Amino acid sequence: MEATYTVTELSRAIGRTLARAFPDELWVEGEIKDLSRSRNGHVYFTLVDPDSGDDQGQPAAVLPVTLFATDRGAVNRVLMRTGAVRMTNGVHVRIRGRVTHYPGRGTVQLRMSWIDTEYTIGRLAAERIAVLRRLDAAGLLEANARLPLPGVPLEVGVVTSIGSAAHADFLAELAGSGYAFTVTVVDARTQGPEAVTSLVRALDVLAMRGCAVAALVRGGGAQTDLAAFDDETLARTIALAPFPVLTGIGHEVDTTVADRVANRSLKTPTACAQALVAMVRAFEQRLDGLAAATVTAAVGGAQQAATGLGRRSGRLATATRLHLTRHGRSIDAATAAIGRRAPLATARASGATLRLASRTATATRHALTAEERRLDGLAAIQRTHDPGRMLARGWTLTYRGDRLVRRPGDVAPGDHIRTETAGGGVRSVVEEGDGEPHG
Amino acid sequence: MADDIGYTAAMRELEEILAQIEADDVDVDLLSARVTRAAELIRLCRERIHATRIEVEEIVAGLEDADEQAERRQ
Repeated sequence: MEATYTVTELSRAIGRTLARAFPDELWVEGEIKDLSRSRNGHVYFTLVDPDSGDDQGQPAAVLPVTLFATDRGAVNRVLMRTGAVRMTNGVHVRIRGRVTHYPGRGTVQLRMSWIDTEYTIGRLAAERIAVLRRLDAAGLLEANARLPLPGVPLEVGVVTSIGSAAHADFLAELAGSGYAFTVTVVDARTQGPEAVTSLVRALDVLAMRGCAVAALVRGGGAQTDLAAFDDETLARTIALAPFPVLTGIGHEVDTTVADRVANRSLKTPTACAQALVAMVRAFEQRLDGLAAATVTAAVGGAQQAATGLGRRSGRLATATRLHLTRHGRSIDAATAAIGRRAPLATARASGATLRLASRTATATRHALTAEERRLDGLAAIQRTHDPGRMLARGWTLTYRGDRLVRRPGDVAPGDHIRTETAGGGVRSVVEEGDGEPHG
Repeated sequence: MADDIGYTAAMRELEEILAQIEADDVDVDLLSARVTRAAELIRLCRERIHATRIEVEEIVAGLEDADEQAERRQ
């Protein structure tokens, strides 16, 4: 009978063979899958080659990896030191360890002892450069930046992880502004393997709902946590979005691909919200400026018109006086003639004179009433725009006669001028005008 | 986005009104009408940007719903 192993014997033989075949620690690279941590501090995951899966997504080969609590401290220290890499699902790592056989489960596994963080960082950078090159070739790098930002971005779409600090910071900033922002927040995963699909779907939801501007925000994190923001599918979705996209991804060192294709990239979610508030504030300030300029111009215009109307009503009064005097004379003349004529003629003539006098009075009254109404209307305009308020603020109006002095050329040395201030008028004599426009 | 076009149009009209008022030959009848229109536009814009406190709508279920629907269809 041929030699027959017991399970234990074969297990031990495999262990010895493995130890001979792989006497030293070795380096393996691959993508982390199914990572879990046990209560006693061990970390378990499997390593696979990326994109090696079959139709069902089952990888062609898997390598179980164990990071025992005893080795974990050293690995954690190097991870902490770089700060850029976190061991999570989907992260591509290069790790060192010993190939061992685990008899209890009959599996071959890698006992991990070290990680090469530079490898992961370099790989992310290289991927980022490749993605940027492809986006550039497709003409997508500036596509979103070419969309004009709205002047008054009050309808804001937000893609973020609802409940996160980024979400709270962003909304607090908008709420604190006091402006009537209407915000549609779409929840998305911002890290981990589902992040890309989730972010793309959230942007699609916003595109369907419509918004004036969108913000993609998340808090800071390790560089590997931000991997989704270097993804080409997400970058293309941002580039081709129907609205400008602002990013506030909260990271210190590098900018992500998402930042690069966005309309504007801000450091943090708060800065992102501040940018939106600043846009609305800029609009409001323009509005204030226009309001002030309109009042100033209207007061000047009303003043000018008042001067003109004053002159016109003066002329009208003079004309009326002349008119009445002249008719008064003809009335007197008629009366005298009547005295010398027959009573019948007297009666006829006086009837005609009375009619004439009455018509003149009516016409004059009408003319005066119309002019009065115009003056009333003007007074109403002046009340509405209240030059008194301008005076109260320290502005003054200077007249030479009834003409407003607008420039040094309006007066000459020796002219008497009157300056209206809030408290009353001041009369003075011009010494000299320098003729230079005052700035 | 239609709103923003509204703001842009209002701003353009305000600038036009100001230019007309600042022109030397002011007609008093037009002055009053223009100032009234300017005041109205400024009031409308200001009211709209301060109209309400912030309004927030949260869309959370989108992803899960879509997945569940996809599963149910299979």
